[in-house]
Amino acid sequence: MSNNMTVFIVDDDEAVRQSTRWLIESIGLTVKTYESAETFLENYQEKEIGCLIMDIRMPGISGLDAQDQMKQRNIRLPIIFITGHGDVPMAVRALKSGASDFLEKPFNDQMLLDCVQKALKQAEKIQQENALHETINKRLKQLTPREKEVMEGVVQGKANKVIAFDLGVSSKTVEVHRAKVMEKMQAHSVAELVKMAYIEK
Amino acid sequence: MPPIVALFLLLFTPALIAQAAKPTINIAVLKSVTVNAEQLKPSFHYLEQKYPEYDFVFHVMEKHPLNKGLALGKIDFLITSSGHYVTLQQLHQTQYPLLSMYRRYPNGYAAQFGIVFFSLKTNPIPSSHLQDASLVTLEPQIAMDHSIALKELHAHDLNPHELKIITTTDANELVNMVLQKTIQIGILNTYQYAQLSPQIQNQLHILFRHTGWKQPFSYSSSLYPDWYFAASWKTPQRLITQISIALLEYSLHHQQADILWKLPESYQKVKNLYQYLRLPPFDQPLYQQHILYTDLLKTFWVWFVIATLIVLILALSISYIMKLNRRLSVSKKALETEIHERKLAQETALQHQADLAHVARLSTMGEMAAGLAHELNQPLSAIVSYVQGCARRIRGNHGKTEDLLQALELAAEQANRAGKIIQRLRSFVKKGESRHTYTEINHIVNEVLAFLDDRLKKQSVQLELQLTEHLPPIFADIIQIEQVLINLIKNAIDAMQDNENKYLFIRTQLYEDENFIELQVKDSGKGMDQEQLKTIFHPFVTTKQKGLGMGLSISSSILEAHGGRLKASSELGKGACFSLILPIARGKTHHEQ
Repeated sequence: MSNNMTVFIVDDDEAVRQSTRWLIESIGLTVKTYESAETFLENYQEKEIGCLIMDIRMPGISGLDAQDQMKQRNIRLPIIFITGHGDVPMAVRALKSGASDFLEKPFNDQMLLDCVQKALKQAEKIQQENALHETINKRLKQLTPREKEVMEGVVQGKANKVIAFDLGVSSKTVEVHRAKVMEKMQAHSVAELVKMAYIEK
Repeated sequence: MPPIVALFLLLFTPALIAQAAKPTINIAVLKSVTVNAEQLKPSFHYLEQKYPEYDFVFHVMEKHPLNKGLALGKIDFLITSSGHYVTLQQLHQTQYPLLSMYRRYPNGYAAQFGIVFFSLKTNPIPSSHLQDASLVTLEPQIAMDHSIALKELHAHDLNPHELKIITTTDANELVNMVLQKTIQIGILNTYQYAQLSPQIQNQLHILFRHTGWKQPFSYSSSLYPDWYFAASWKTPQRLITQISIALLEYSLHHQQADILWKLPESYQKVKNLYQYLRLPPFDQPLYQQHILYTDLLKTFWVWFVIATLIVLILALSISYIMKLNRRLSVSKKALETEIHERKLAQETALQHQADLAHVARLSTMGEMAAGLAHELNQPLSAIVSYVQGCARRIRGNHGKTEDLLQALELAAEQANRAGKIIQRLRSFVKKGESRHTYTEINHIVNEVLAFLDDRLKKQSVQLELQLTEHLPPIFADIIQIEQVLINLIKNAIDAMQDNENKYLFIRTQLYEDENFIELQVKDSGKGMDQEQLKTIFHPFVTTKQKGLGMGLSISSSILEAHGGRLKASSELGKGACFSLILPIARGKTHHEQ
């Protein structure tokens, strides 16, 4: 696990904020605290990775609303919701919306730390996914429009002749483009190319 | 009449004004032809000499002014005929006759008198022709003589109404009529007859002559007491005695006077005579008084007018005041109604407010528990985090002591915060202004059951009620007792959560020594063991997953504040029974509500 992970804590109660920071810092993690969802959303930078521990009931933007806004802004931080009320419908909604975990106060320290670890793993995975996307995107950007058209055909499983007919070029030309695509996309097989195209969809 | 009034005033007023220093004694003498004032003078003179400390004033008066003077209390003594006296006596204007007049006749003294029927000797009337005879009598104003004559005629079977009776005012003329044979029979009283000269008397014949009683005069009738000396109704007894004795003394020392005084003759005879003839006052007892009133009116008309005016003014002002009063009372009534209505409205508003507060409070109870859980969770989770953070650092041996200490201090601070929240909860339950009223326990039960009806139905709890009717009232804060009961019933429902047969039994009854009322809430829940029972009233003790453990503690203190207590009994697996014991309201009445 990389050490550049940050645990963001959003809670309107200062004691909860500071004590949670104290607890999480005990396992050597970086902690950033915010007193409201608004300040968190204002100050969050996309490069920052890690997980978010957020109270579900807060004055102003509630935890669930903040979750929605993060989705819209494509902030993919795993969220651990904490609440004083064992509110089942809220927990269901939060988890359905992609929350990582839902904890009831007062929480067991080990449970919270486990949740944090789990969320950070998710975050890592998300980061890896993001990196893959980025790579593929970079490669795709190198393709010419014609090459993109050919690649589409290949991914759809069309034969070279069919692609040539569709594009109104000779099958020889299609073969050249195809080789170029495989090279630019660093794909060793058609299956690999299809996988990359699928990820990027 | 007016001249008489004037005479009366003339006679009277100077006497009243003069010599105010000396007590004045007014002695009235009835004006009469048979007694003249000259004859009385020696008697009066004797009185004046005997009692120089008194100022004696003598009045000769007509009947009516005399009556009036008596009625007004202005006359102390009076000298009057026995007939007049009887009338006055009947009207309670005089006291008993003090003395009888002892009159001198040519042949001696007499205190009685009668009448004489006489005719001319030369003109005899046969007794068989008496009814055809003509009679002459003096003016009937000397009513007594006339009355005696009438009675005497009756006694001789003669009907006076069938007789030819004429009247005259003068005794001499009367005698002349008989002497000249104009009239056959003359009537005079014995005194008048005795005054006639012997020559005349010799020519006359006395009819129905009585011979029974030896008298200094001739007479033809029963005899009646002569004039009386009497005291008025208001004359003091001491004065009466003084004057009576003085007059008797006078009679002793002046044997030859025209008029002497002796102890009174009975007036019963006169009374009988008047009654017999149905004369006033025995026919129309108020006749005399009626005259008195008119006389009074005439004398004091100014006062009457003034009095009438005053009465009129009074009546007017009274009617005005009454009118005002009526208007006032109408507006007062309107005002009272308005005040009453306002009060009612206010009470209704207050009641409504209280009801709202009640409902709010009751619904807050639930919400409060949740809110409180949240609130308590904050410091609690903070404490956990601080403490565990410390523990981890110590275990990992990488925490700085200062940091650890600071974290621990922060943890302690959060513990205090939690304590304050609990205090707030306590004061919430206690603080609510205690409003004690008289109420019936059954009323509270029904209210609470109505409130919890939905919940009981949702949980399909079978409810059995055994409410004793006509229990004495309790004096309690209804809201608080309702809170306790709600709490108990909610507990019961919770305890029966996992039961198949949910059975709630509520009973009200008198408690043991009858100074308390007991309200039992019994469930068929899981119950408690003896260990649990011991601690359930302690704060923060609960058997529930999400309970605070405050309910029973608070309930218990509420009941203790009411002078009662909360009892619990249970057996594990057999349900629990909670009893609210509340004192019966005594010493205070319902009115104090």
